[in-house]
Amino acid sequence: MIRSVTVIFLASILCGCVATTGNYRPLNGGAAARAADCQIFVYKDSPPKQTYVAISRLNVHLEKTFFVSSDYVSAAAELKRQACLSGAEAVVDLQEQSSSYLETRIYNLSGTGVRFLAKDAPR
Amino acid sequence: MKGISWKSAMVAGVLLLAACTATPTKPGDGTPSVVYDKPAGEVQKAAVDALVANGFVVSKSTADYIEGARPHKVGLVVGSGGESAGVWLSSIGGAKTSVKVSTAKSFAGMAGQKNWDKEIIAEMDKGVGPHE
Repeated sequence: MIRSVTVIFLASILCGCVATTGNYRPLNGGAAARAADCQIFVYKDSPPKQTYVAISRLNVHLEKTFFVSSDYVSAAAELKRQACLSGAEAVVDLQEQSSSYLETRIYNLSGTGVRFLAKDAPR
Repeated sequence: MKGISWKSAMVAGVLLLAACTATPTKPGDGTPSVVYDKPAGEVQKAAVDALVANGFVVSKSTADYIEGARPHKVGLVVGSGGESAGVWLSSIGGAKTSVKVSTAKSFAGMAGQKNWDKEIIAEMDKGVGPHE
């Protein structure tokens, strides 16, 4: 009994030291949701050449205690998932922000979900 | 009996962490507010984005009030999270919007909590431009 409780307690601690919150806010009327694992093009350094319309504001927020940091790699999967749920085909205007408070390391990744208008959109 | 005590203690602990979230109280009239040269609808969206960007899970979002809470996180020393924040909006004419922000700390895990008012305002500034 004590062993079971100890295992549950330790598992709770390990799970409870990380918080990942992802969400999106529709823009310009939004778009129909796509499958959560859909293909998303991420334009991290420069915007796409194709014309597009912004349809969502995306945000992923990671907080870890125990002095553990997060980075883009930690948040990318959730950003793409939120982009899919918002109906986007790509993500532009990425903004990263890192901060800390006591033993907590905070990483925030935001971007704009877009849909391509042109026929030459990447497939 | 011993087993039941353990269970009770665990349940009580979890409930304490989950339920003890303070409710933010609106700052009084004497507290200065922040004014944006933007309509309330635009500022309201910026306020939602600002809470989300600071790790708050938005629980209430109306035209003149937004509220959110940060999830508790267990840590090596004090952990973090558990704060609640409220953002009050009011139109003051001329497409200007007055904003008041207040963070409330909960009893559980208070040592790891902080006031997020400045961070929320700073994030809103990014969304709708600097306040007056």
